Amino acid sequence: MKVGVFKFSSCDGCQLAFFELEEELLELSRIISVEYFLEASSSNRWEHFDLAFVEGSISTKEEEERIKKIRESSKLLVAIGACAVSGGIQSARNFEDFSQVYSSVYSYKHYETNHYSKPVGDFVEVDFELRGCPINKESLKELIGAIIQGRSFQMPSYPLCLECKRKGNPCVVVAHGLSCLGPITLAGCGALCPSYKRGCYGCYGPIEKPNLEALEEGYRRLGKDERALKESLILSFNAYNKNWRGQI
Amino acid sequence: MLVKNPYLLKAGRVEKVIKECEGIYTFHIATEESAVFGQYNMLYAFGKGEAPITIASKGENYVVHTVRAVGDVTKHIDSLKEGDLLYWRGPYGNRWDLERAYGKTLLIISGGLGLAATRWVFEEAQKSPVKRLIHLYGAKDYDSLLYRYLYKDWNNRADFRIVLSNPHPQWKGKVSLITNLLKELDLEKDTIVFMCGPDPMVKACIPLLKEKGIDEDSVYASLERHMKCSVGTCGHCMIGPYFVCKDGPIFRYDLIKEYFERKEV
Amino acid sequence: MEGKGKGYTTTIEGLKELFEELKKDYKVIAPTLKDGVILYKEVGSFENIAFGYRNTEAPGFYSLEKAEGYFTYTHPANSPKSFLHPPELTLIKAKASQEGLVFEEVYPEDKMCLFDLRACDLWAIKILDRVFLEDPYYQRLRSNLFLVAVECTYATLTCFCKTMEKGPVPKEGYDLLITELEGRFLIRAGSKKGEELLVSLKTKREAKKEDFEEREKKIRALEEAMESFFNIREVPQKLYSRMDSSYWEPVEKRCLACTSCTQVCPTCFCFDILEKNTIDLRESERVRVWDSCFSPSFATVHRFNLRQSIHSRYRQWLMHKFAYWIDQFDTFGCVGCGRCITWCPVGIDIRQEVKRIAG
Repeated sequence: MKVGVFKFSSCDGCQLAFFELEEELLELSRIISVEYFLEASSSNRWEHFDLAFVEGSISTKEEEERIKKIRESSKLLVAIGACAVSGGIQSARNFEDFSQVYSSVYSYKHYETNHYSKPVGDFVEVDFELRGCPINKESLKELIGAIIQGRSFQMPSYPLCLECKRKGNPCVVVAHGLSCLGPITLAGCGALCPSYKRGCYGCYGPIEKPNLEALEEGYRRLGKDERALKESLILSFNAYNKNWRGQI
Repeated sequence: MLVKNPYLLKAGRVEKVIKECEGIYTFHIATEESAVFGQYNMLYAFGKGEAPITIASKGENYVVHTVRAVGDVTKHIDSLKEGDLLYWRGPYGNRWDLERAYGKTLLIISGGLGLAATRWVFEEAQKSPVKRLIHLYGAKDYDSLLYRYLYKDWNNRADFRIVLSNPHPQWKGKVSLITNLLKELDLEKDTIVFMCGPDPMVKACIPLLKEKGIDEDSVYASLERHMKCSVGTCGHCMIGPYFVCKDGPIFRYDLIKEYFERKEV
Repeated sequence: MEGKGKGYTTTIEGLKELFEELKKDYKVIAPTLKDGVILYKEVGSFENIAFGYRNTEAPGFYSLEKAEGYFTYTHPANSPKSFLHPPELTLIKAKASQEGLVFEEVYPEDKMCLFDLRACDLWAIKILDRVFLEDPYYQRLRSNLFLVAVECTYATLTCFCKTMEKGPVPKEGYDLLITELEGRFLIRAGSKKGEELLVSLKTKREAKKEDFEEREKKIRALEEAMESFFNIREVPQKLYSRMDSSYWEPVEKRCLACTSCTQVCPTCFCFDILEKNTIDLRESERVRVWDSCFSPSFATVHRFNLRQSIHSRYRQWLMHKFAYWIDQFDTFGCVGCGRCITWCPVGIDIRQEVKRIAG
């Protein structure tokens, strides 16, 4: 199976999950041949891919063209991480006046960039999504296992709270008065933040039908207004996700 | 206290594979295990999981399952060949109350793959003291008809009628809805009805039966719900106070009506 | 019920002696402090029990403070369910071999003592006993269980065991029952196992009339202080007749469907069975994990969830607890522990909801 790993507007962090597959490496090397992976190898070939992993959001014209080329060369395309799935933290600019955002960072017009940072799925068809900022090794293993074994990819569709309670965590909202996006965020991370007494900041992105109205009430109970909720969502790394686009 | 493990799987050799149509296969699995018509087994696919599959029929040393490849488990099962091992647990669930139809008219209504759940009781009814036996079978397309090799036999022993939703050059029979077929029937008020098909089919047949004076307590329906444990502990298959997996899958209609007809129960 | 056999009184040292005795044979699970919350956990030493803390609970609210005495709290945030019906449990391992698949049953072998169990949780175990009557995994853990119950002398704002007629007094099902009195503890046995252990205790004296009277006074005071929220006898029928009520729909806007209530509930038993394996698929495990009727894929038939709306899931949950459960297991599915109220991140109060729909 020919595999390619590609990067767009992102921090490279998700690609590191591939280096964590140490235990599976031997088994994988029998089945998989990595053809293109700039971060891992100096010899890269771009012909045809059975499986393409794409990290990063699409935020320039060049990227728009390149993602289409990858799609054309690949049988299966996987968007990995919050940037590729939802536009990433950089999609926070989609909710602001672009020229103001630009001039607050750069003092002169030099860089060519789109006004919006968008998910890969806005440009090409995506076969699978791996959520998270960054993705975790377990979901990557599950996806590769599913493809190799010829079965469907098992990913939770339920909110983080279920995973968090299975882990035995008392709710951080109730116990510590923390704001937490867990109730509307997809499970899969292992309830990492709440296990360390922190509220979930939503890096796995929204569940299919997040109940924002109810969460707003939850925020109010903590003495926070809807602006605070909106800000949490915009900073969730997944602000431009399709499941709540137009609602924020 | 020693409790039998309900999750333990048994192995059975595939003795025969019959291709019914594209994506639907019938398997004869060797087993000495007893079962009754209406029950189901949980079939297992290694590395994939389990799926509840109705027992379509039973021979002396084998059980018959008809499986449509829709999910991981059923796709795996449909790839099995003669001589392969199939792993399963069961049987589970209740049976059709065939005795209630003795001396009366028994009407069976099957929609699509629902025929797999009524086939066995239909065959048994043919040998039983049922006064009149009618079976209405509705299928979408000519190519999706199940058990074609049995029709001749069935036609000799019962009033077996087929209706297709879509026309086909080779199909000389009716193209209509199963409800239209039902409307045309003359039925006694004390007719007993067994149904298995998609929920909307079952719901649509009820008022028509009522018009013919057949009460809901004479109607039985075999339901399909999400089942994981099959022993009434995982909660997925609940409909009102019932666990479809162990209280059903067959219910006297008046008992489930409240929950079945109401949205999102 | 006064317990079987005689009552004894003992000191905190006597309780420590009891704890040490239990530790010889059992993995002792007791309320302990973790990150500012009292939780049931395996406790290594008697000193780690959350003695002298008081929990204040209200809808969506929890806090702790110091208090005078020992068993000054109510029940922990988690429940015995976490130990008897663990959130993740491997049921069967399947291994591929030349001759086909080989199956291995994996049973939990823990011998556990639940130390400091309140009336609500004792009832919850009784309910789980009925649900998992034929489940060999639950039965293994259950048959090795030693139960030390404690009588509540305090109720939080979310407690409603009195309304559900499940407390505050533990009626049966315990091995030992402890009541905290002024400067001493009354202990009684509820089983032969408990009696044997109690008799072997060195630090104790036979309880006198005054001890029982003091206990009686404390319990009565609590019972009188607790409010009755609704009449449970009428609830099931009212619910059955109000399934189409306009009450349900507004829940859509308030409930997050986060599943927390079902997870902290001591009787919610629903689970999923997952198939877990490695990439090479030499071995595959059937793993049971807690599930919830609020989960978006819970009632999925052919990829379509029959309960799309949140309010239909809420109706399923509430109807199950207060109506369906009685038809299934001859008891309510609610013991009035109030965990679902306290731990709901938006503070939905099931007592008020029941009152509203079936009051």
